[in-house]
Amino acid sequence: MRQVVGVSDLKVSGNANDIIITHALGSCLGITVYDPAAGVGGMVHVMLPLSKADPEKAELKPAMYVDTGLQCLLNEVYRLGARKNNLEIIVAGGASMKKGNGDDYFKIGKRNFTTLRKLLWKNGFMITKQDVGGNISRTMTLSINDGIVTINKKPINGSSVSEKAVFKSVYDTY
Amino acid sequence: MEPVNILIVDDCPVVRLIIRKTLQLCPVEIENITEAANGDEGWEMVKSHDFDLVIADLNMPVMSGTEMIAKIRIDPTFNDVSILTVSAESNNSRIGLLSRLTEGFVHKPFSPEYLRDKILKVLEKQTIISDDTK
Repeated sequence: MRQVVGVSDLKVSGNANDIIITHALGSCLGITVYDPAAGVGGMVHVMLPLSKADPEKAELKPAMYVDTGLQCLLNEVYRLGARKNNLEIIVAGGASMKKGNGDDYFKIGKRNFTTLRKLLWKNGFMITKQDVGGNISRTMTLSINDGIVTINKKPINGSSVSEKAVFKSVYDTY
Repeated sequence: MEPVNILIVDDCPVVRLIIRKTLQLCPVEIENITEAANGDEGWEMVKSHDFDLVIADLNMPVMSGTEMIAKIRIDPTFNDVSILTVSAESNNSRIGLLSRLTEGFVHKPFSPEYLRDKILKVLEKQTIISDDTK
């Protein structure tokens, strides 16, 4: 079954038939976690770096912020039987939203990714694969059956040329 | 793959800590991680232990990483030791020269993910070579 993750939303699954997808990742981050041993995975689509910007909103919609969103995603996959040591983390998005030659004043994409990296490092995680930055819109798909993450990329401004990246959710070399 | 013994040689304790934490997060079974604060200490460690991989800085007090690497490479006893240099060195000709003596170079500042990928590449190469020689 296809499960669509909206903005500030998260989905987890332990059903091999499920495919989790999120669309239109600009400066937002799509984070997938997958435990190949348990066959459990999940995805969150976060918008902003830190929940301290609006703690009330963060309580209502934890998947809006990188810190609370990641925490919720991890709690949900652990609940389904995933284990920390097996988790493979793939990140997409964090694009710069500048238009034309204009400046990306708030640099939300970059700040989202920096916050995520700090959080992961402090908590003893490393990103398995990443496709971040640039000036492109991404669609991210996670297949629970095999942990394959597919990222479709399209420039935010102008041309319709699109690219695709496929990450198998295990280390290529090991 | 058998558990690996790794030596970290860097005069900065923070960098040693970052490398150690990165190693602990790598999907590799590690038997032991040893630390040394300069090339001289590193060379003494290499002589008295059996390391699979040495991760070394270049610019250090007492004895530089370059001198330590040269000592390791001259001695055929340590032919099976892989070396990965982690340094802020930006002189391309020096890096080029080093690449003949070492298995990889990581430029400071580095991301833990980049260092992890380099470490995995070196260890994978080492496994293939040691499997071939069996």
